[in-house]
Amino acid sequence: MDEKVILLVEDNPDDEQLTLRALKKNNIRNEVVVARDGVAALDYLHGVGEHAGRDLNFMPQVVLLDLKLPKIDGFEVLKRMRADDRTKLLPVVILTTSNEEQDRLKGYGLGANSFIRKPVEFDRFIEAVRQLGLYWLVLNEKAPPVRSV
Amino acid sequence: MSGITFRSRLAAALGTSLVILTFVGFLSYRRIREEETNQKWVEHTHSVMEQLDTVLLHGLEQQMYEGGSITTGNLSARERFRIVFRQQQRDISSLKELTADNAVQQQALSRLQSLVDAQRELLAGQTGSGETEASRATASAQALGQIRDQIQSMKGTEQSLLKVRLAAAARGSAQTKLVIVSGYAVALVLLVVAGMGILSEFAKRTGIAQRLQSAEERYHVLFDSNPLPLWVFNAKSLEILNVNGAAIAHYGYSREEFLRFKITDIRPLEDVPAVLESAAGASSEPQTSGPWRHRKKSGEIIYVEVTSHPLVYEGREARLVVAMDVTKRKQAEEALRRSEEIFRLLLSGVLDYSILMLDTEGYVVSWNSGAERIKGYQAEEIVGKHFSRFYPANEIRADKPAQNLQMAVEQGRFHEEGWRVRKDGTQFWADVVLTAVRDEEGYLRGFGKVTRDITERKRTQEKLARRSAELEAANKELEAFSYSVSHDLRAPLRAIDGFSQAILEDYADKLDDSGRNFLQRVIAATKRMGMLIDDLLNLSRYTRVDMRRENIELSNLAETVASELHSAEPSRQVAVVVAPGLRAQGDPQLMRVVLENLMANSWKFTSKTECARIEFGELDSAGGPAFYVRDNGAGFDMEYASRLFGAFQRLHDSSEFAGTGIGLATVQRIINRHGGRVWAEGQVGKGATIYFTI
Repeated sequence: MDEKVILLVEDNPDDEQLTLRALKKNNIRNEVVVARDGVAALDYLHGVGEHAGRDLNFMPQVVLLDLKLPKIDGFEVLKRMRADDRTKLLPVVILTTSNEEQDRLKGYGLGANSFIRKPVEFDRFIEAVRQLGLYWLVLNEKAPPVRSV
Repeated sequence: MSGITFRSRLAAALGTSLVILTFVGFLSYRRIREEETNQKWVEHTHSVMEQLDTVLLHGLEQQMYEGGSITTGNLSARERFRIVFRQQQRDISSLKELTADNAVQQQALSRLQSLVDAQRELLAGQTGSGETEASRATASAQALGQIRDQIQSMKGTEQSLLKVRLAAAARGSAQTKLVIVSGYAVALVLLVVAGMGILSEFAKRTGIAQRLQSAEERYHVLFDSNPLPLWVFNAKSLEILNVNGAAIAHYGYSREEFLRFKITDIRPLEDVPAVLESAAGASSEPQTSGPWRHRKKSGEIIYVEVTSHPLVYEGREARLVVAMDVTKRKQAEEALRRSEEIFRLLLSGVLDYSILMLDTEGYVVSWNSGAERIKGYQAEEIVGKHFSRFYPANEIRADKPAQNLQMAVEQGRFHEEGWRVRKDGTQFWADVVLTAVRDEEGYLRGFGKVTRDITERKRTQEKLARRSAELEAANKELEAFSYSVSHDLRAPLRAIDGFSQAILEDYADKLDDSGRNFLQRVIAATKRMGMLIDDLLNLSRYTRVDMRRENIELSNLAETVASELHSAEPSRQVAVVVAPGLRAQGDPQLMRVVLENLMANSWKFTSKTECARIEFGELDSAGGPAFYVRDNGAGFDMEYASRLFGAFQRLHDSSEFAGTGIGLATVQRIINRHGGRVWAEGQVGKGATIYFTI
């Protein structure tokens, strides 16, 4: 089964709920794995801790990454992902409240594929999620998984 | 030897000779008189002797007559005897006269008289008495013998007297001879000397005359070809007698004019008395004087140093004048003097800087009023003291004064800020520049030291540094705050908005109109707050962001902003007029924000205006060229103009025109950061104009 999973890294339950609602509103029915802090996100991606033994050949279609996270923040998560061969090429969309220049610079600098600021108005958020889903889940072809020969 | 001295010496020599000769003549005369007197004395002595002999002879004759041995033809012996006796008495009388001044001889003469008397008595008594012939003859012979002895003794006395007198005369004569001979010798020597003097003076005067003659000839030869202006003037009348080509060329007067002039005619009128005085006091030596002021024909006054030589010119006493034009030197000296004076005044007038000179060892040589003001010492109490006393004690111990001098010597200049000590012991923070002062040959002559009291500035700097540290900390805090605002304040808003929306969608049937309306209001309020947060963040960001200045094509920028506005609201018909070619220096990003805000405002406030029009242009203002954005929209009441640029200040109801009231505040911040000014003009219903300079 070649389901395209979304990894949502988000500590705020309201935002989590709203994001899920926006996805649903846009009829994006892909499975969403939610990680509520940076450590959980990395555990899932690298198959350790709670996610030990997970099939690492299976990787999410896209990672929606918040920046302000407990334990390990979004930048650190991104940095470690990019440092690991298995997650080096995964599409990462930074989805954050801030649009500070320094954050954008740092995000792209660490290898983010996209940077989206969450609008306050839910209407616009829904629209943003719709376009995001269309692009990353439908249009975009992710890099082939790195397999051992 | 001057003429006067020579003349007086000559007179002295001649006078002395005359006196000596007169004295010698007088002595000779007196000598002759003495000789005459001596002669008389000799004759006198001879007369006395003769008389005495006559007395003796007459005595003999008496005796002879009495003895009868002699017989005469016509007179008897007795008669003869009486005649002889009378003759003898006359002899004795004349002897008495002759020796009247000689008491010894008078006495002797008295005795002779008595002897003669005794002899006559003897001879006369012979006839009366009857004594014998033989005894009478014996007595008579005896008496005569006594008379002869008496006469012999008297002759001896007279002769020894004569001898004494002649000896005295001989002594006087020898002295007189000596005086006469030496007097003549001295007079002769003096006359010879005087004569030689006269001869040599005569020779000298002849020489001077000859030399003057040849000098005159030389001057004639040198005169005309001399490159220096020369003229000759009559020493008495001051008329110019001759002038050379250089003088004519330099002064501009023709030869004829010069020869009509007195020397006073080429002087400014007010200098003439001094010239006359100088001419009157001119000596026979060459003399240099000046600088004098001479007037050229053009009227130009020049300064001239004059050397004048006495000479005889065509038989007249004259002076040759060599004129050296020193105007340029004089002007240079004057300029130097003036510049030195200005420099001195400048130095002494400067109160804000202590300016002083140190010698090569660091001792104070000069002191200005600024130094006096800053350091508290009067010039007289500090000049000659070592400059180390301006340093705090610990720096003196560390030998800093000498080190600083050494650095100035090595690097030409030493500059530092540091504590220095005033006379009263208080310290001040000084800006000190020590400069090694060298002469043209490069030898160290001393040090210039310029000190400024910058205690106040240092305090201000320190205060400023503290303030900017505080400010930086505050900025950091603000940044952290903004960051957290953008994250943490927006997240709940999104939840409020999102869930309100969810209720409206999912539970619409459970709500009545009023409930739905309330939720709509919640959603509107959240949206508004989201905008406020964004604008606030922008406002603080534009205040913080690093600014760069470059050339901005403002007109192009305005066109871009206008086209964005058009494409955002294509339905609106707005005439946007942008003056072409406007440029300014500024931060392109920030200036874009300015134009976006101003033009978006105009766009917004003309939304209810027919034939909406927005202009961007430039005009002259009091503070230089000002740009403006003008519209014919809703405008505003000038009464509230001052509130326009405050954050959250709105002059319109948000139901009328949406907005946060932060746009113009942002514009003002950005313009202020550019060092410019922003102001507004407007009228309700007629539109508004926002001006700015950058």
